Amino acid sequence: MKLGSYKSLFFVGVILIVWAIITQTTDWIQPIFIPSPSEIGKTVWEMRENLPLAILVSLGITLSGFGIGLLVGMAMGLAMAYSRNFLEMVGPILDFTRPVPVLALIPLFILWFGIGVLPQVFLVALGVSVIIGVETYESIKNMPLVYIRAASNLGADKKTIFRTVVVPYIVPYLIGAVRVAAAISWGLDVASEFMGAQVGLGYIMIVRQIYLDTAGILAIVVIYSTLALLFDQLIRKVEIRLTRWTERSKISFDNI
Amino acid sequence: MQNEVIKESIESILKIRNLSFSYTGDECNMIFKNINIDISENEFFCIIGPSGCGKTTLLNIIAGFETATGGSVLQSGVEIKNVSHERAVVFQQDAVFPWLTVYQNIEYGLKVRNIPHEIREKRVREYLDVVGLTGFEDRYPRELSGGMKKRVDLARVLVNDPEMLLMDEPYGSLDALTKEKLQISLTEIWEHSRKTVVFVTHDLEEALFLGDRIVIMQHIKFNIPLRIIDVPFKRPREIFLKEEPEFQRMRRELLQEFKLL
Ligand SMILES: Nc1ncnc2c1ncn2[C@@H]1O[C@H](COP(=O)(O)OP(=O)(O)OP(=O)(O)O)[C@@H](O)[C@H]1O
Ligand SMILES: [Mg+2]
Repeated sequence: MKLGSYKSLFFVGVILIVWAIITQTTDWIQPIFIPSPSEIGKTVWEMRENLPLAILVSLGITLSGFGIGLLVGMAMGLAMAYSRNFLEMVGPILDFTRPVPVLALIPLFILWFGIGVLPQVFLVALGVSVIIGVETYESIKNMPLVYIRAASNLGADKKTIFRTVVVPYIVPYLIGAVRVAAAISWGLDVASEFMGAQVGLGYIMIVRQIYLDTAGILAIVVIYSTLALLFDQLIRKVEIRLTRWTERSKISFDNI
Repeated sequence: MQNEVIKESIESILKIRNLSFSYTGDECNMIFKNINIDISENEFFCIIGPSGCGKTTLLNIIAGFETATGGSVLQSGVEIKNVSHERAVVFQQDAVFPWLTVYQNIEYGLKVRNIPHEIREKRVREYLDVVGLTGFEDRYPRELSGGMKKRVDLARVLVNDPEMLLMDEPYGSLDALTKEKLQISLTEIWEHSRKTVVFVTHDLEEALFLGDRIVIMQHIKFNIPLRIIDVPFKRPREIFLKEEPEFQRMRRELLQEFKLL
Protein backbone atom coordinates (compact mmCIF):
# COMPACT_ATOMS: atom_id res chain seq x y z
CA MET A 1 0.00 0.00 0.00
CA LYS A 2 1.23 3.43 -0.85
CA LEU A 3 -0.10 6.30 1.18
CA GLY A 4 -0.58 8.62 -1.73
CA SER A 5 -1.98 6.17 -4.23
CA TYR A 6 -5.34 7.05 -5.73
CA LYS A 7 -6.71 3.59 -5.16
CA SER A 8 -6.15 3.68 -1.43
CA LEU A 9 -7.37 7.27 -1.09
CA PHE A 10 -10.49 6.32 -3.00
CA PHE A 11 -11.04 3.32 -0.75
CA VAL A 12 -10.60 5.35 2.44
CA GLY A 13 -12.93 8.00 1.05
CA VAL A 14 -15.66 5.46 0.34
CA ILE A 15 -15.44 4.07 3.85
CA LEU A 16 -15.61 7.56 5.39
CA ILE A 17 -18.64 8.50 3.32
CA VAL A 18 -20.48 5.28 4.14
CA TRP A 19 -19.62 5.75 7.79
CA ALA A 20 -20.83 9.35 7.79
CA ILE A 21 -24.07 8.48 6.01
CA ILE A 22 -24.88 5.60 8.32
CA THR A 23 -24.11 7.44 11.56
CA GLN A 24 -25.64 10.76 10.61
CA THR A 25 -28.75 9.86 8.63
CA THR A 26 -29.79 6.62 10.28
CA ASP A 27 -30.15 5.49 13.85
CA TRP A 28 -28.85 1.97 13.27
CA ILE A 29 -25.83 2.58 15.48
CA GLN A 30 -25.91 4.56 18.70
CA PRO A 31 -23.27 7.33 18.92
CA ILE A 32 -21.99 5.83 22.18
CA PHE A 33 -20.72 2.86 20.18
CA ILE A 34 -19.67 4.52 16.96
CA PRO A 35 -19.98 8.30 16.70
CA SER A 36 -20.02 10.05 13.37
CA PRO A 37 -16.79 11.29 11.76
CA SER A 38 -17.81 14.91 12.33
CA GLU A 39 -18.32 14.20 16.02
CA ILE A 40 -14.77 12.91 16.22
CA GLY A 41 -13.51 15.94 14.37
CA LYS A 42 -15.31 18.16 16.85
CA THR A 43 -13.75 16.34 19.79
CA VAL A 44 -10.28 16.72 18.33
CA TRP A 45 -10.94 20.43 18.01
CA GLU A 46 -12.04 20.60 21.64
CA MET A 47 -8.90 18.83 22.76
CA ARG A 48 -6.62 21.06 20.68
CA GLU A 49 -4.94 22.64 23.67
CA ASN A 50 -3.93 19.42 25.40
CA LEU A 51 -3.09 17.50 22.26
CA PRO A 52 0.33 18.85 21.24
CA LEU A 53 1.94 18.01 24.58
CA ALA A 54 0.17 14.64 24.74
CA ILE A 55 1.34 13.77 21.25
CA LEU A 56 4.86 14.88 22.06
CA VAL A 57 5.02 12.80 25.22
CA SER A 58 3.59 9.66 23.62
CA LEU A 59 5.77 10.10 20.57
CA GLY A 60 8.79 10.51 22.81
CA ILE A 61 8.04 7.36 24.79
CA THR A 62 7.29 5.28 21.72
CA LEU A 63 10.20 6.42 19.61
CA SER A 64 12.83 6.26 22.32
CA GLY A 65 11.54 2.88 23.48
CA PHE A 66 11.51 1.65 19.91
CA GLY A 67 15.00 3.01 19.23
CA ILE A 68 16.51 1.52 22.35
CA GLY A 69 14.72 -1.78 21.76
CA LEU A 70 15.95 -1.90 18.18
CA LEU A 71 19.57 -1.34 19.16
CA VAL A 72 19.49 -3.69 22.13
CA GLY A 73 17.66 -6.36 20.13
CA MET A 74 20.11 -6.23 17.24
CA ALA A 75 23.04 -6.25 19.63
CA MET A 76 21.63 -9.29 21.42
CA GLY A 77 20.94 -11.17 18.19
CA LEU A 78 24.39 -10.39 16.83
CA ALA A 79 26.06 -11.31 20.09
CA MET A 80 24.23 -14.63 20.23
CA ALA A 81 25.42 -15.45 16.73
CA TYR A 82 28.92 -14.13 17.41
CA SER A 83 29.71 -15.89 20.63
CA ARG A 84 28.71 -19.42 21.47
CA ASN A 85 29.28 -18.66 25.14
CA PHE A 86 26.88 -15.76 25.05
CA LEU A 87 24.31 -17.88 23.23
CA GLU A 88 24.55 -20.66 25.75
CA MET A 89 24.22 -18.15 28.55
CA VAL A 90 21.42 -15.99 27.21
CA GLY A 91 19.65 -18.25 24.72
CA PRO A 92 17.81 -20.48 27.19
CA ILE A 93 16.78 -17.52 29.34
CA LEU A 94 15.40 -15.84 26.26
CA ASP A 95 13.57 -18.99 25.23
CA PHE A 96 11.90 -19.17 28.62
CA THR A 97 11.00 -15.53 28.88
CA ARG A 98 9.98 -14.92 25.29
CA PRO A 99 6.47 -16.41 25.61
CA VAL A 100 5.77 -14.19 28.64
CA PRO A 101 3.60 -11.36 27.33
CA VAL A 102 5.31 -8.07 28.03
CA LEU A 103 2.00 -6.57 29.09
CA ALA A 104 1.70 -9.09 31.88
CA LEU A 105 4.77 -7.49 33.40
CA ILE A 106 3.08 -4.14 33.92
CA PRO A 107 2.16 -4.73 37.58
CA LEU A 108 5.72 -5.83 38.26
CA PHE A 109 7.09 -2.82 36.43
CA ILE A 110 5.04 -0.50 38.60
CA LEU A 111 6.27 -2.34 41.65
CA TRP A 112 9.90 -2.29 40.61
CA PHE A 113 10.32 1.01 38.85
CA GLY A 114 7.43 3.04 40.17
CA ILE A 115 5.56 5.29 37.80
CA GLY A 116 7.11 7.76 35.39
CA VAL A 117 8.48 8.04 31.94
CA LEU A 118 11.45 5.73 32.42
CA PRO A 119 9.54 2.49 33.10
CA GLN A 120 7.25 3.40 30.20
CA VAL A 121 10.15 3.69 27.81
CA PHE A 122 11.60 0.53 29.27
CA LEU A 123 8.41 -1.41 28.64
CA VAL A 124 8.33 -0.41 24.97
CA ALA A 125 12.04 -1.14 24.60
CA LEU A 126 11.63 -4.57 26.16
CA GLY A 127 8.82 -5.57 23.82
CA VAL A 128 10.70 -4.34 20.76
CA SER A 129 14.07 -5.83 21.70
CA VAL A 130 12.66 -9.33 22.12
CA ILE A 131 11.12 -9.29 18.64
CA ILE A 132 14.21 -7.82 17.01
CA GLY A 133 16.63 -9.98 18.97
CA VAL A 134 15.02 -13.23 17.93
CA GLU A 135 14.60 -12.12 14.34
CA THR A 136 18.21 -10.94 14.10
CA TYR A 137 19.52 -14.24 15.39
CA GLU A 138 17.26 -16.29 13.12
CA SER A 139 18.20 -14.31 10.01
CA ILE A 140 21.86 -14.85 10.74
CA LYS A 141 21.30 -18.56 11.19
CA ASN A 142 19.60 -18.67 7.79
CA MET A 143 22.46 -16.96 5.98
CA PRO A 144 24.03 -18.91 3.12
CA LEU A 145 27.32 -20.31 4.41
CA VAL A 146 29.01 -19.41 1.14
CA TYR A 147 29.07 -15.66 1.94
CA ILE A 148 30.78 -16.27 5.26
CA ARG A 149 33.25 -18.62 3.66
CA ALA A 150 33.94 -16.24 0.80
CA ALA A 151 34.61 -13.37 3.20
CA SER A 152 36.85 -15.45 5.39
CA ASN A 153 38.67 -16.76 2.33
CA LEU A 154 39.28 -13.19 1.15
CA GLY A 155 41.03 -12.43 4.42
CA ALA A 156 38.31 -11.05 6.71
CA ASP A 157 38.40 -11.96 10.39
CA LYS A 158 35.32 -12.74 12.44
CA LYS A 159 34.64 -9.20 13.55
CA THR A 160 35.04 -7.89 10.02
CA ILE A 161 32.75 -10.60 8.66
CA PHE A 162 30.04 -9.51 11.08
CA ARG A 163 30.44 -5.89 10.15
CA THR A 164 30.75 -6.28 6.39
CA VAL A 165 28.75 -9.42 5.61
CA VAL A 166 26.35 -10.42 8.37
CA VAL A 167 24.88 -7.00 9.10
CA PRO A 168 24.29 -5.92 5.50
CA TYR A 169 22.90 -9.34 4.65
CA ILE A 170 20.29 -9.42 7.42
CA VAL A 171 19.01 -5.86 7.08
CA PRO A 172 16.39 -6.66 4.41
CA TYR A 173 15.27 -9.67 6.43
CA LEU A 174 14.90 -7.51 9.52
CA ILE A 175 12.77 -4.85 7.88
CA GLY A 176 9.61 -6.94 8.28
CA ALA A 177 10.28 -7.48 11.96
CA VAL A 178 11.17 -3.82 12.42
CA ARG A 179 7.85 -2.78 10.95
CA VAL A 180 5.97 -5.22 13.15
CA ALA A 181 7.91 -4.03 16.18
CA ALA A 182 7.20 -0.40 15.30
CA ALA A 183 3.48 -1.11 15.07
CA ILE A 184 3.55 -2.98 18.36
CA SER A 185 5.48 -0.24 20.09
CA TRP A 186 2.47 2.09 19.73
CA GLY A 187 0.34 -0.48 21.50
CA LEU A 188 3.00 -0.87 24.13
CA ASP A 189 2.98 2.88 24.58
CA VAL A 190 -0.76 2.85 25.23
CA ALA A 191 -0.30 0.05 27.73
CA SER A 192 2.62 1.80 29.36
CA GLU A 193 0.54 4.92 29.87
CA PHE A 194 -1.90 2.78 31.77
CA MET A 195 0.84 2.52 34.37
CA GLY A 196 -0.25 5.76 35.94
CA ALA A 197 0.85 8.36 33.41
CA GLN A 198 -0.27 11.95 33.97
CA VAL A 199 0.08 13.15 30.42
CA GLY A 200 0.08 11.58 26.98
CA LEU A 201 -2.33 10.19 24.41
CA GLY A 202 -2.89 6.94 26.26
CA TYR A 203 -3.62 8.88 29.42
CA ILE A 204 -6.23 10.99 27.62
CA MET A 205 -7.77 7.79 26.35
CA ILE A 206 -8.15 6.42 29.88
CA VAL A 207 -9.76 9.61 31.07
CA ARG A 208 -12.16 9.65 28.12
CA GLN A 209 -13.08 6.08 28.79
CA ILE A 210 -14.10 6.95 32.31
CA TYR A 211 -16.54 9.50 30.88
CA LEU A 212 -17.77 7.06 28.24
CA ASP A 213 -16.66 9.57 25.62
CA THR A 214 -16.46 7.27 22.62
CA ALA A 215 -15.73 10.09 20.22
CA GLY A 216 -12.78 11.11 22.39
CA ILE A 217 -11.41 7.59 22.48
CA LEU A 218 -11.81 7.20 18.75
CA ALA A 219 -10.18 10.57 18.21
CA ILE A 220 -7.12 9.33 20.09
CA VAL A 221 -7.20 6.07 18.16
CA VAL A 222 -7.22 8.05 14.93
CA ILE A 223 -4.26 10.11 16.12
CA TYR A 224 -2.36 7.00 17.15
CA SER A 225 -3.09 5.39 13.78
CA THR A 226 -1.93 8.46 11.93
CA LEU A 227 1.30 8.58 13.90
CA ALA A 228 1.85 4.85 13.38
CA LEU A 229 1.15 5.18 9.68
CA LEU A 230 3.55 8.08 9.29
CA PHE A 231 6.22 6.23 11.21
CA ASP A 232 5.73 3.16 9.05
CA GLN A 233 6.14 5.31 5.94
CA LEU A 234 9.36 6.64 7.37
CA ILE A 235 10.66 3.13 7.97
CA ARG A 236 9.82 2.24 4.40
CA LYS A 237 11.74 5.23 3.13
CA VAL A 238 14.74 4.02 5.09
CA GLU A 239 14.14 0.49 3.86
CA ILE A 240 14.29 1.57 0.23
CA ARG A 241 17.63 3.23 0.88
CA LEU A 242 19.05 0.24 2.71
CA THR A 243 17.86 -2.48 0.37
CA ARG A 244 18.63 -1.04 -3.02
CA TRP A 245 20.74 -4.10 -3.72
CA THR A 246 17.98 -6.68 -3.27
CA GLU A 247 15.60 -7.93 -5.91
CA ARG A 248 12.55 -7.60 -3.73
CA SER A 249 11.38 -4.30 -5.12
CA LYS A 250 11.11 -5.99 -8.48
CA ILE A 251 9.09 -9.00 -7.43
CA SER A 252 5.61 -8.85 -8.83
CA PHE A 253 2.98 -11.47 -9.52
CA ASP A 254 1.05 -9.29 -11.91
CA ASN A 255 2.31 -11.00 -15.04
CA ILE A 256 2.06 -14.55 -13.84
CA MET B 1 73.69 -26.12 -6.38
CA GLN B 2 72.05 -25.15 -9.64
CA ASN B 3 70.37 -28.52 -9.70
CA GLU B 4 68.88 -28.08 -6.29
CA VAL B 5 67.27 -24.80 -7.17
CA ILE B 6 65.59 -26.39 -10.16
CA LYS B 7 64.47 -29.31 -8.09
CA GLU B 8 63.02 -26.96 -5.53
CA SER B 9 61.03 -25.10 -8.15
CA ILE B 10 59.38 -28.21 -9.53
CA GLU B 11 58.73 -29.50 -6.06
CA SER B 12 54.99 -29.88 -5.60
CA ILE B 13 53.36 -26.96 -3.91
CA LEU B 14 50.37 -29.00 -2.79
CA LYS B 15 50.69 -32.51 -1.41
CA ILE B 16 47.58 -34.47 -0.60
CA ARG B 17 48.58 -37.35 1.62
CA ASN B 18 46.34 -40.34 2.47
CA LEU B 19 43.42 -37.99 2.67
CA SER B 20 40.13 -39.39 3.95
CA PHE B 21 36.99 -37.54 4.78
CA SER B 22 33.60 -38.21 6.27
CA TYR B 23 31.04 -35.58 7.22
CA THR B 24 29.89 -37.65 10.16
CA GLY B 25 33.38 -38.58 11.26
CA ASP B 26 32.82 -42.34 11.15
CA GLU B 27 34.38 -44.96 8.91
CA CYS B 28 31.32 -46.18 7.06
CA ASN B 29 30.25 -42.79 5.71
CA MET B 30 33.51 -41.94 3.97
CA ILE B 31 33.21 -39.56 1.04
CA PHE B 32 36.70 -40.57 -0.08
CA LYS B 33 39.56 -42.57 1.32
CA ASN B 34 43.36 -42.44 1.08
CA ILE B 35 43.67 -39.91 -1.68
CA ASN B 36 47.22 -39.03 -2.75
CA ILE B 37 47.85 -36.24 -5.22
CA ASP B 38 50.83 -33.97 -5.83
CA ILE B 39 50.22 -30.69 -7.56
CA SER B 40 53.21 -28.69 -8.71
CA GLU B 41 53.69 -24.99 -8.73
CA ASN B 42 52.28 -23.15 -11.77
CA GLU B 43 50.24 -26.15 -12.73
CA PHE B 44 46.68 -26.04 -14.00
CA PHE B 45 45.28 -29.10 -12.31
CA CYS B 46 41.77 -30.33 -13.02
CA ILE B 47 39.61 -32.57 -10.88
CA ILE B 48 36.84 -34.28 -12.76
CA GLY B 49 34.21 -36.73 -11.66
CA PRO B 50 30.49 -37.39 -11.48
CA SER B 51 28.15 -35.43 -9.24
CA GLY B 52 28.44 -36.39 -5.60
CA CYS B 53 31.86 -38.03 -5.79
CA GLY B 54 33.36 -35.50 -3.40
CA LYS B 55 35.03 -32.87 -5.56
CA THR B 56 33.68 -29.91 -3.61
CA THR B 57 34.48 -31.67 -0.37
CA LEU B 58 38.09 -32.19 -1.47
CA LEU B 59 38.40 -28.56 -2.50
CA ASN B 60 36.91 -27.42 0.81
CA ILE B 61 39.58 -29.35 2.66
CA ILE B 62 42.33 -27.81 0.54
CA ALA B 63 40.80 -24.37 1.16
CA GLY B 64 40.72 -25.07 4.89
CA PHE B 65 36.94 -24.93 5.33
CA GLU B 66 36.74 -28.58 6.39
CA THR B 67 39.16 -30.62 8.44
CA ALA B 68 40.38 -33.95 7.11
CA THR B 69 39.14 -37.06 8.90
CA GLY B 70 42.42 -38.79 8.07
CA GLY B 71 45.62 -37.79 6.31
CA SER B 72 46.62 -34.26 5.48
CA VAL B 73 47.11 -31.61 2.84
CA LEU B 74 50.44 -29.79 2.78
CA GLN B 75 51.06 -26.48 1.12
CA SER B 76 54.78 -25.91 0.55
CA GLY B 77 55.41 -28.52 3.20
CA VAL B 78 53.15 -26.97 5.84
CA GLU B 79 49.93 -28.66 6.84
CA ILE B 80 46.84 -26.65 5.92
CA LYS B 81 44.77 -25.90 9.00
CA ASN B 82 43.21 -22.52 8.35
CA VAL B 83 41.51 -20.59 5.63
CA SER B 84 43.89 -18.26 3.82
CA HIS B 85 43.55 -15.68 1.10
CA GLU B 86 46.63 -17.29 -0.47
CA ARG B 87 44.39 -20.20 -1.48
CA ALA B 88 41.63 -18.25 -3.13
CA VAL B 89 38.35 -20.03 -3.77
CA VAL B 90 35.91 -19.43 -6.60
CA PHE B 91 32.79 -21.16 -5.35
CA GLN B 92 30.37 -23.43 -7.16
CA GLN B 93 27.47 -21.30 -5.94
CA ASP B 94 27.08 -17.63 -6.62
CA ALA B 95 29.19 -16.04 -3.89
CA VAL B 96 29.41 -12.45 -5.09
CA PHE B 97 28.14 -10.20 -2.30
CA PRO B 98 24.82 -8.85 -3.58
CA TRP B 99 24.90 -5.85 -1.22
CA LEU B 100 28.15 -4.53 -2.70
CA THR B 101 28.68 -3.06 -6.15
CA VAL B 102 31.01 -4.71 -8.62
CA TYR B 103 33.79 -2.34 -7.59
CA GLN B 104 33.24 -2.91 -3.87
CA ASN B 105 33.15 -6.67 -4.38
CA ILE B 106 36.50 -6.69 -6.13
CA GLU B 107 37.91 -4.30 -3.56
CA TYR B 108 36.70 -6.38 -0.61
CA GLY B 109 39.76 -8.57 -0.02
CA LEU B 110 42.18 -5.66 -0.26
CA LYS B 111 40.05 -3.56 2.02
CA VAL B 112 39.68 -6.10 4.82
CA ARG B 113 43.42 -6.63 4.73
CA ASN B 114 43.97 -2.89 5.11
CA ILE B 115 45.77 -2.32 1.85
CA PRO B 116 46.17 1.45 1.37
CA HIS B 117 43.51 3.19 -0.63
CA GLU B 118 45.65 4.27 -3.61
CA ILE B 119 46.99 0.76 -4.20
CA ARG B 120 43.50 -0.63 -3.84
CA GLU B 121 42.04 1.67 -6.43
CA LYS B 122 44.81 0.92 -8.90
CA ARG B 123 44.53 -2.84 -8.51
CA VAL B 124 40.74 -2.90 -8.66
CA ARG B 125 40.80 -0.88 -11.89
CA GLU B 126 43.44 -3.22 -13.27
CA TYR B 127 41.40 -6.34 -12.59
CA LEU B 128 38.14 -4.78 -13.70
CA ASP B 129 39.94 -4.48 -16.99
CA VAL B 130 41.39 -7.99 -16.89
CA VAL B 131 37.93 -9.55 -16.61
CA GLY B 132 36.40 -7.00 -18.97
CA LEU B 133 34.03 -5.32 -16.54
CA THR B 134 35.25 -1.75 -16.81
CA GLY B 135 32.17 0.42 -17.03
CA PHE B 136 30.15 -1.85 -14.78
CA GLU B 137 31.85 -0.94 -11.51
CA ASP B 138 28.82 0.75 -9.98
CA ARG B 139 26.34 -1.99 -10.81
CA TYR B 140 24.89 -4.24 -8.17
CA PRO B 141 25.19 -7.99 -8.84
CA ARG B 142 21.46 -8.31 -9.45
CA GLU B 143 21.98 -6.13 -12.51
CA LEU B 144 24.55 -8.54 -13.98
CA SER B 145 24.27 -11.69 -16.04
CA GLY B 146 25.43 -15.03 -14.64
CA GLY B 147 28.63 -14.91 -16.64
CA MET B 148 29.41 -11.39 -15.48
CA LYS B 149 28.94 -12.42 -11.87
CA LYS B 150 31.44 -15.21 -12.35
CA ARG B 151 33.90 -12.69 -13.74
CA VAL B 152 33.40 -10.50 -10.70
CA ASP B 153 34.06 -13.55 -8.57
CA LEU B 154 37.28 -14.27 -10.44
CA ALA B 155 38.47 -10.67 -10.29
CA ARG B 156 37.65 -10.56 -6.58
CA VAL B 157 40.16 -13.31 -5.87
CA LEU B 158 42.76 -12.44 -8.52
CA VAL B 159 43.11 -8.91 -7.20
CA ASN B 160 44.57 -10.34 -3.97
CA ASP B 161 47.37 -12.00 -5.94
CA PRO B 162 46.88 -15.36 -4.21
CA GLU B 163 49.41 -18.16 -4.38
CA MET B 164 46.86 -20.54 -5.85
CA LEU B 165 43.33 -20.60 -7.15
CA LEU B 166 40.78 -23.21 -6.14
CA MET B 167 37.93 -23.10 -8.61
CA ASP B 168 34.83 -25.22 -8.06
CA GLU B 169 32.87 -25.73 -11.28
CA PRO B 170 32.90 -21.98 -11.82
CA TYR B 171 31.20 -22.23 -15.20
CA GLY B 172 28.95 -25.19 -14.47
CA SER B 173 25.77 -23.15 -14.51
CA LEU B 174 26.45 -21.16 -17.66
CA ASP B 175 25.35 -21.65 -21.24
CA ALA B 176 27.83 -23.16 -23.70
CA LEU B 177 28.72 -19.92 -25.44
CA THR B 178 29.36 -17.90 -22.29
CA LYS B 179 31.25 -20.82 -20.85
CA GLU B 180 33.54 -20.97 -23.85
CA LYS B 181 34.23 -17.24 -23.67
CA LEU B 182 35.13 -17.46 -20.02
CA GLN B 183 37.33 -20.49 -20.64
CA ILE B 184 39.26 -18.56 -23.25
CA SER B 185 39.65 -15.56 -20.99
CA LEU B 186 40.71 -17.83 -18.12
CA THR B 187 43.46 -19.46 -20.21
CA GLU B 188 44.68 -16.01 -21.20
CA ILE B 189 44.70 -14.81 -17.62
CA TRP B 190 46.38 -17.98 -16.50
CA GLU B 191 49.06 -17.92 -19.16
CA HIS B 192 49.81 -14.42 -18.05
CA SER B 193 50.07 -15.11 -14.33
CA ARG B 194 50.85 -18.85 -14.23
CA LYS B 195 49.31 -19.35 -10.84
CA THR B 196 48.71 -22.82 -9.54
CA VAL B 197 45.08 -23.65 -10.24
CA VAL B 198 43.00 -26.51 -8.92
CA PHE B 199 39.95 -26.58 -11.11
CA VAL B 200 36.95 -28.78 -10.41
CA THR B 201 34.62 -29.62 -13.26
CA HIS B 202 32.42 -32.41 -14.52
CA ASP B 203 32.97 -31.37 -18.10
CA LEU B 204 35.72 -33.42 -19.71
CA GLU B 205 36.08 -31.06 -22.65
CA GLU B 206 36.63 -28.17 -20.26
CA ALA B 207 39.25 -30.12 -18.33
CA LEU B 208 41.11 -31.11 -21.51
CA PHE B 209 41.05 -27.57 -22.84
CA LEU B 210 42.21 -25.89 -19.64
CA GLY B 211 44.30 -28.39 -17.73
CA ASP B 212 47.88 -29.59 -17.63
CA ARG B 213 46.81 -32.69 -15.79
CA ILE B 214 43.44 -34.17 -14.91
CA VAL B 215 42.59 -36.43 -12.03
CA ILE B 216 39.51 -38.56 -12.42
CA MET B 217 37.60 -39.15 -9.22
CA GLN B 218 34.90 -41.75 -8.92
CA HIS B 219 32.30 -42.40 -6.29
CA ILE B 220 33.88 -44.26 -3.39
CA LYS B 221 31.51 -47.21 -3.74
CA PHE B 222 33.11 -48.23 -7.07
CA ASN B 223 36.46 -48.45 -5.34
CA ILE B 224 38.37 -47.27 -8.42
CA PRO B 225 41.83 -45.85 -7.74
CA LEU B 226 42.44 -42.27 -8.86
CA ARG B 227 43.85 -41.91 -12.31
CA ILE B 228 45.87 -38.94 -13.36
CA ILE B 229 46.06 -38.00 -17.01
CA ASP B 230 48.63 -35.75 -18.64
CA VAL B 231 47.14 -33.37 -21.14
CA PRO B 232 49.59 -33.21 -24.06
CA PHE B 233 48.37 -30.06 -25.82
CA LYS B 234 50.77 -27.17 -26.25
CA ARG B 235 50.18 -23.71 -24.90
CA PRO B 236 49.02 -21.11 -25.59
CA ARG B 237 45.82 -22.88 -26.45
CA GLU B 238 43.26 -21.55 -28.85
CA ILE B 239 39.60 -22.43 -28.79
CA PHE B 240 40.01 -24.32 -32.11
CA LEU B 241 41.92 -26.90 -30.14
CA LYS B 242 38.56 -28.36 -29.21
CA GLU B 243 38.00 -29.33 -32.86
CA GLU B 244 41.39 -30.94 -33.41
CA PRO B 245 41.17 -34.70 -34.11
CA GLU B 246 43.67 -35.41 -31.36
CA PHE B 247 41.55 -33.55 -28.82
CA GLN B 248 38.38 -35.30 -29.91
CA ARG B 249 40.04 -38.69 -29.87
CA MET B 250 41.32 -38.20 -26.36
CA ARG B 251 37.97 -37.00 -25.18
CA ARG B 252 36.18 -39.99 -26.68
CA GLU B 253 38.61 -42.49 -25.25
CA LEU B 254 38.37 -41.05 -21.78
CA LEU B 255 34.60 -40.88 -21.96
CA GLN B 256 34.41 -44.51 -22.89
CA GLU B 257 36.88 -45.48 -20.27
CA PHE B 258 35.14 -43.73 -17.43
CA LYS B 259 31.58 -43.41 -18.64
CA LEU B 260 31.78 -39.75 -17.78
CA LEU B 261 29.15 -37.37 -18.92
N1 LIG C 1 27.58 -30.50 4.43
C1 LIG C 1 27.41 -31.81 4.15
N2 LIG C 1 26.98 -32.67 5.10
C2 LIG C 1 26.83 -33.98 4.83
N3 LIG C 1 27.05 -34.53 3.63
C3 LIG C 1 27.47 -33.74 2.64
C4 LIG C 1 27.67 -32.34 2.84
N4 LIG C 1 28.09 -31.80 1.68
C5 LIG C 1 28.15 -32.81 0.79
N5 LIG C 1 27.78 -33.98 1.36
C6 LIG C 1 27.77 -35.29 0.70
O1 LIG C 1 29.08 -35.57 0.31
C7 LIG C 1 29.10 -36.16 -0.98
C8 LIG C 1 30.04 -35.39 -1.87
O2 LIG C 1 29.55 -34.07 -2.03
P1 LIG C 1 30.31 -32.99 -2.88
O3 LIG C 1 29.56 -31.73 -2.75
O4 LIG C 1 31.73 -32.96 -2.48
O5 LIG C 1 30.16 -33.59 -4.34
P2 LIG C 1 30.65 -32.99 -5.73
O6 LIG C 1 31.56 -33.99 -6.33
O7 LIG C 1 31.17 -31.61 -5.54
O8 LIG C 1 29.31 -32.96 -6.57
P3 LIG C 1 28.81 -31.90 -7.65
O9 LIG C 1 29.51 -32.20 -8.93
O10 LIG C 1 27.35 -32.19 -7.77
O11 LIG C 1 29.08 -30.55 -7.12
C9 LIG C 1 27.67 -36.18 -1.47
O12 LIG C 1 27.21 -37.50 -1.35
C10 LIG C 1 26.93 -35.28 -0.55
O13 LIG C 1 25.67 -35.80 -0.29
MG1 LIG D 1 30.51 -29.73 -6.08
